[in-house]
Amino acid sequence: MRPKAKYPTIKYLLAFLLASLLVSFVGLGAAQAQSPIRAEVDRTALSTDETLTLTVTLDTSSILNSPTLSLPDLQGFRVVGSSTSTQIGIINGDIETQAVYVYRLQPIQAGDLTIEPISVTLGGQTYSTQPMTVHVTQGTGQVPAAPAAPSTPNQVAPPAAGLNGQDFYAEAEVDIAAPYVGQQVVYTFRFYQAGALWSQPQYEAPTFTGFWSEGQAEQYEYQVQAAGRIYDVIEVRTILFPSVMGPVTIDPARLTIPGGFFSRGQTLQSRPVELDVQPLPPGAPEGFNGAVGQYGLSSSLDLTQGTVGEPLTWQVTLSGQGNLTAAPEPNWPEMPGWRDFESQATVHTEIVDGRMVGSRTYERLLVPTVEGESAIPALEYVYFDPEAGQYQTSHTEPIPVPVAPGAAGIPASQPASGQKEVVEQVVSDIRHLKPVPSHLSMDDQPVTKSAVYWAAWAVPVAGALGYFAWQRRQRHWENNASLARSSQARKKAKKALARVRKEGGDAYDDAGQILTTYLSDKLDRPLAGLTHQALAGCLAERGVDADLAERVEVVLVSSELGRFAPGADDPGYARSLIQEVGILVDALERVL
Amino acid sequence: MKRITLITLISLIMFALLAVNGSLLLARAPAPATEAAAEAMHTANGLYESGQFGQAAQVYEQLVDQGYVDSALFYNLGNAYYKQGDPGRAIINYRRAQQLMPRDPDIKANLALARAQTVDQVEVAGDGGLVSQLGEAMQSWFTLDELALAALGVWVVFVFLLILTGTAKAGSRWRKGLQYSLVAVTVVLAVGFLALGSFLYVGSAESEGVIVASEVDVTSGPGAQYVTAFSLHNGAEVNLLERRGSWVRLALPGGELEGWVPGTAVEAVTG
Repeated sequence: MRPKAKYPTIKYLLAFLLASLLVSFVGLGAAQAQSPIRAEVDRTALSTDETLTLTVTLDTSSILNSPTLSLPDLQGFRVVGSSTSTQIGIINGDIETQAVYVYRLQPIQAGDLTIEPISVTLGGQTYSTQPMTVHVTQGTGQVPAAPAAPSTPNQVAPPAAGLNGQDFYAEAEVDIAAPYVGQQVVYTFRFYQAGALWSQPQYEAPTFTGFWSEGQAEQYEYQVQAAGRIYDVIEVRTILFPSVMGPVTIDPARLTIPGGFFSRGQTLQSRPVELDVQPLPPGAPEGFNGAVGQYGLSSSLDLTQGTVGEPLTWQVTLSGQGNLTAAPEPNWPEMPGWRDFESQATVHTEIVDGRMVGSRTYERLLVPTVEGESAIPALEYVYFDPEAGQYQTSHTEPIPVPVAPGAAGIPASQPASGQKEVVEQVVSDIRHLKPVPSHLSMDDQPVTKSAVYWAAWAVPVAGALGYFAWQRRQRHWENNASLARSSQARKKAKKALARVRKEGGDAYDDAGQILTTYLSDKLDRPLAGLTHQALAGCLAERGVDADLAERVEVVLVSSELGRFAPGADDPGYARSLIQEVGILVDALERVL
Repeated sequence: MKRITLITLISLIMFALLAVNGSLLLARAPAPATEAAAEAMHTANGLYESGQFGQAAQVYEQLVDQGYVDSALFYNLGNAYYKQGDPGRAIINYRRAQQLMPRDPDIKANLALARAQTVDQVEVAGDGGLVSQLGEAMQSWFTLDELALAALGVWVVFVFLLILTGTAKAGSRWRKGLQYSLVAVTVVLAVGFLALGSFLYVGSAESEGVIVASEVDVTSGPGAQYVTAFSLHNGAEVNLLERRGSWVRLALPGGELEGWVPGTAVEAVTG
C-alpha cells in the first residue's frame, strides 16, 4: 500500500490562501471604489423629545478645494446644532483629507421621517448618500436628560489662518461669539507644533473674568497640514458660562515653550477673544428663575403609600445640559396635608462631547399629617433654551399617595421590634436666643488701638537696656578703682556734710576731715601723706587757681586751729566752716 | 548682694508690667448693663419668644444704636433677622457676635445656617496666601484683644528671661535652664508675633460687608447709568473697597469680580 501523498493537502492550502487573497483584493477594490460620501444617524427610532445626530463624512485627496456639501430639505426636522471638522492624514505617502459634518436634528413631528440623499460633486462627478428613514414617536414635551452634542471627540479644526510655516503657533477661539448669558460656551486653545520640542510646554489659561468656568474640559491631539508643513495640534477646550452681559474679552492664553541646548525658549500668546453676551429675551414665563440650558425634570417617591407621621422621601431630579452646578432650585409648591423639610441637593456633572451634562437631585423629606388620598403635586421648571432661543417648561406629573392613619397607642419612638432607631435631625433650625447678659459693653475699640498698649511693649526693652547699661558701668568701675573713687568723691563728701549738719559733733574736726578725704579721693592720693604742702602742690599741678587753693588752705588751717587752739570753738564759725567746705567741694568738682 | 537686690527689683517691675497687662484685659471687661438696657433686651427677647421677630429686631437695633456692643445682643439680633427671612442682616450680626466670641458654638451653627440660605455661590479664586489663611484661622479662634494681650505677656516674660540669663553665672545649671526656657519662650513669641501680625493684616487689608438688598445689580461704575456687570442677592458676603458718594465699590472674595452698588444695598460687618 502506497503511503498517502501529502501533495494534495498542500495544494488545497495554497488554493485556499490564493482565494483568500483574491477575496481581500476584491473587497479592498470595492471599498476603494465606494462613494466618498457617507452619512449615518445615531438612532433610527426616537421621540419628538429627543434629538438625532446626523454625521456626514466626506473623503477627498484635496485639501485645497474643499467640496461644498448640499444638505437636502430635511422635512420634519429642525436643525438645532451643527459642526464641521477636517482631519488630514498621510497614508502610504498620500495625503488624505476627511471632512466630517455633524448635524443635530430635532424631530418636529411624529411618524416615519426620511432624510433624503445628501450629494456632493467631486471632480465633475456627483456622489450621493442613501436615503435614511427614522421612526419618530410623539414625546411628552420634556427635553432629553443628556442630549447628544454636535461635536465629537475626534473633531478637528481646519488649519489656522495665521499658520505661515512657522515652527510654533497658538490661537484661541470660542464656539459661540454672541452667546446668551448663562449659555455654555466652549473656549478652545490650539497649539500648532512643527518644530522640535525639548520638553513639555506649559499652558497658562486666561482668567476667564466674567465667566463661570468649569475648568479644563478636554484635550485633543491631531495633525493638520498648512504652508507645506505637517503640524501636530494640541487642542484644549474649556467650558464657560457667561455671567455678565455685554461685550466681554477673554484675555490671551499663554504657552511657554522651554528652550533646548541650542535654542532659546519662547512664549506664545493667543489673541484676546471678544464675545458679545446677549441678555435673555424678554417675556420670561412666570416661575422662571434664571436657568439656561436644556433640562428635564423627574419626580419619584421612595414609597407608594404613606402613613400619618411617618416620613417619605421625595426625589426630584433635574437633568440635562447646562450649568447644573449653579442651576436654580425648582419652585417648591405649597403642600397642604404635608409637612415638608428643606432639601439637600446632590450634583453630578460630566463632560460629554464637549458639553456639560448631568443631573441635580433634590431629596425632600415629606411627612403626611392627614390620612386619606393625597398626592405629591406636579412640578414645573422653566428654563431658557439658548439653542432654540426660547423659554421652555419641563414638568412632572402628580404622584398619587394613599395615606394610612398612624399607629395609635404606640409611641413612635418605641419600635415594636425592640431595635434601636438611628436618631437623625430631620430639620435644621437656628439655635435659640441667648439670655440677657449681666454685663453689656459700650466700647468695642480693641487694645491695639490704645497708645498705652504699644507703649507697654517698649517698657521691658527700656528696662533691659537700663539694666545692661548699669551693669556695664559697674564693671567699668570695678576695673578702674581710682576712677570709681574719684567719681564717688563729691557724693561721699556731700553725704558726710549732710550727716554733720544733721547730727552735729565736732564741726572743726569734721570740716577738715571731709575736705581732706574729698581731695584724697579726687586726686587719688593716700590720705596719710596728704600734708598741706603736698596738697597745695597737687592742686597747683591739676591747674586749680591760687585763690581756690588758698581757700582750701584756710579751711584746713581753721579746722586745725579750732581743734587744737584753746577758746577757738565758736559754734557760728564752725557752721560757716562746714558751709564753706560744701561750697569748696562744688567749686573743686568743676575744675578737677 | 547688690545683684540679687537688683534682680528682685527687675522681677518686681516685670511682674508689675504683667499686672498692667492683666488690668488692661480687665479694663476691656464690659461694664454692668444698665437697668434700662437690660430691661430693653428682656423686652426684645420676649417679643422674639412670642413670634414678633420684626419688633424684637427693632428693640435690639435700638440698643446697638445706643452703643451697646455684646455678642449675645448681636446673636439675638441675627436670630430675629433670620426668622424674618433676611439672611443678609442675620449674617452681619452673627459675624459681629463672632468677632466678640469667636469660639461660641451657637454663633457658628447659626451663621452656617444663615449662609446656607443665601442664593449666590461665590467661587473663591486662590487661597489668599499663608498670611491671610493664618489670620482667618486666628480670627475664628481668638479675639484681637486676647491675642494682643497674650503676645504682650509673652514679650514681658521673654525680656525678663533675657535679663536673668544675662546675670546668671556662666556655665551654671541655673543659666543653662534659663537658656532652654528662653529658647522655648522665643518660639512662643515668634508664633505670637506671626499670629498677631496676620490678625492685624487681615483686619486692616479689607473691610467686609454683606448684601442686605434682596437683589442688587452690580454696575461697572458708581451710578445706575453704567453697565450691569453681574447681580448679587441678599446674604452675599463681599469685600468693600471704597465709598464714593452714595455708592460703594465692592469685590467678591478672590477679587476677580468687582463693581459698584448703592450704599443702601450693602452693610459693613464692622460698622
